[in-house]
Parts: sequence; structure tokens; C-alpha cells
Amino acid sequence: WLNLIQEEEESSRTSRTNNVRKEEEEDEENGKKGKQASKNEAEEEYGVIYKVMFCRETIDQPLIPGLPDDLALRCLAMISHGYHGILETVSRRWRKLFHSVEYSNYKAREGWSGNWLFVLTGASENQWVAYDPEADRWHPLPRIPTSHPDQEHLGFSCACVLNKFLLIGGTYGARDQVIPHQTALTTNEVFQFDPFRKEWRNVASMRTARSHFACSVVSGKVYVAGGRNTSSGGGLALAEVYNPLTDKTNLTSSKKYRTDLR
Amino acid sequence: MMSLGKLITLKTNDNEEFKLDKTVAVKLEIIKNIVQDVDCTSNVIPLPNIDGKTMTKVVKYWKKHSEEGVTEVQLKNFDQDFLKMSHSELHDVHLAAKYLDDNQLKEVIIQEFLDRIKGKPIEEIREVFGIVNDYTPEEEEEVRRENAWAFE
Repeated sequence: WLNLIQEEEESSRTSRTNNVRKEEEEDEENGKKGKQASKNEAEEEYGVIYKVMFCRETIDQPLIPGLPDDLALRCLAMISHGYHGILETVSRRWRKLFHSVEYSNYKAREGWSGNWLFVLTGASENQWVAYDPEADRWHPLPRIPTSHPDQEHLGFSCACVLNKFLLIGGTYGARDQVIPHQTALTTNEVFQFDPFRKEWRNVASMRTARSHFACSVVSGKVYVAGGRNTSSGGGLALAEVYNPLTDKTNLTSSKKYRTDLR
Repeated sequence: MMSLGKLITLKTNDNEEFKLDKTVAVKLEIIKNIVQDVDCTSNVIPLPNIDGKTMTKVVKYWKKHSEEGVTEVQLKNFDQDFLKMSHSELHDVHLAAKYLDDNQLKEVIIQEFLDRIKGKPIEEIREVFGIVNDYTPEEEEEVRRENAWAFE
């Protein structure tokens, strides 16, 4: 079982590095002309100029004809993202806007990110749904890219931080009692849902697999403590802290149940 | 109490003049500042960024909203009527409200824009706002599929 976890860790790690690599490739494509060598400053500068020109090009095409973009942006950002499904179909420019980091930051800064309720019901086969009170409707979320899609997910914790919804740890157990030999698997996986991009992402896993643990957000960091996993009989004495800005998990000092979370 | 001495005049960039009760006018930060700064013997305040057509609307809004004994319902009906204008007119009023630092009016205009977008079908949004659909039919189909839940 332990091996299983390790394998998982490895595979998630490689997938992450793949992602990084992909991003690098994209960056290179953006700065096409600076392709030959990239590390010297002059060429980096060229890359910046290229990006600025790229922005200018999109600015020329207004979000709403006849309105300055700042006003149009303000109007659009005030609309609950429960309407985004329709709005992003309006034009390519709008879609691009809703998917941009600047847009979600803007919404967050103005306090317009909305109060969504995320729900997972037992009978729904891991299909998360979200309720948007402003639009008064339920949205099914995309499937989570987990390696145990058919198993029941229990004992996880959730946290909302930086406009993202985090789904942390928990146990995957057999939904079907007909197969008695299948043992429950506690995971250290952490998934992050971005309501603006409408996608799940694997983020840094916890150091320890755990389920039924305490979880709280303090000063923008996610603390998880205690809980249990299959290798610990009497419960875990470990606490960890996750920093969503750097996407890194650290162990906090682990004196048995006198964990000092600083 | 209204008296002649308490009237101030706002003059737009196309030389239209608006006489306002000072108690109405000084509610606005910018006018208050001008009234304090300038020796107001002439009582004429120039508004170089606003034209008469737009200012007529703004003044109409101010007057209604500072009427004594006006009820919520009356104001709501007034606003509804007041906001029946084109996008460019709304934009002009928004600019004027911005210049005059009238947050209430600014928010009202933005809310109106919002209501014209929120919950409306795609085709209507495109038509009303004159937005060109720059998707290819295939791309649009793809985006629609992605957001199928939104069209239920």
C-alpha cells in the first residue's frame, strides 16, 4: 500500500514537471524571435516588448464597442461568474478576459467573487456541484482528475483560499460492497478548483496521506492537522501548512499533539 | 429654504447654463470644492467636460433625488425611466458623474449596463452591444458544449 502512495507521488510529480515544461515551451513560442538563446537580458527585454505589443493588439478591440474598457470590465466583473457560461460564448475577447488572471484578481480585489456553495453528495459518484446564490442555480463541476474516479470519497477537508476551492486528502473506499477485498485508500492528494477557468488542478500533495483531519485557513495559508491514515493506528500527530501562493507544503513541528502552528 | 442668493449656475462646455439650488449642488464634492475655492460672486461654475445634453439628464436626476418627501417607489420609477437611453448616452452620463464625483449616479449607470447583460441570451447581448462574434462556427460550438450547463 505504501508503494502505491509513493508511485502516486512520483506520477504527480512528473506530471507537474511536465506542466512546467509545457509552460516554458509556450513562453518560448510567445517570444519567437528571441528563440536562439534566452538567458541574456537584452533578449528578455525583447520578450517584454513583444508581450506589450501583444496586449496592445487586443486592447484595440473593445470589450463593448462604444465603451471604454475600464467601464466595460467593471460591468462584466460585477456579474456573477454563474453567468460566465453564456457570457464567454459571446465573443473570443470576452472568453479570454474571463480566463485571465487579471480578471479573477480584479474580482477578488473588489469583493465580487461571490459566495458559492460546493457540495458533494454520497450518491453522486464524485460529481461535485456548486450553487451560485446570485444567479440562483446549481452548476455541475467538471470531473476531478483523480485516479480513483469510481470510489467513494470520504473524510476529506475543503478550504477556500485565494478564490480557489481546495479539496484535500480523504479516503477512497469501495462504493460497491460486493467486492470485499478492496481496501480503503487514504490519499495525500490536493485538488484545486478554479471557478473562473472552471477546471480542477492537481496541486502540491500533503507530505502525509490523511483523512478525517482538522483543516483551517489562517492568514491565507491552509493548515491541516491530525486525522488518520492506514499506517497510523491511533491517529496522526503531524500538522502541515500549505501555501497557495508558492504551491508548497511544509511540515510544522511535529511534537506529539503539542504541535505549534507558527 | 430657497433664496436667490443660494442659486449657483453650472455652465457646460456648449454654454448651456443650469441654475441649481446651492444645497443640492454642494452635495457634490467637486462643486463644493469649487465653491470654496473660487470667489463665487458670479456664482457661475464652468464644467468644461460636460455638454448640455448630458448635463440636462444629470440635473434632472439630482433634482428628483433631492426632492423633499419623495418616496422610494417614486425614485425607483424615476430611475427606470431615466435609464432608458442608449449605451453612448449612458456612457456620457457615466463620464459626467465621474467628473462630478457622484458615486451614486455612477453606480446606477453601471448597474443598468449590468442588467442589460445579466441573464440575457447570447444573441441578444451581441445585438444590443454591437459585439462582433469572432468565433468560427466550430469554435462556438465547442465553447457552447463546454458550457452546456449554462444553457439549460
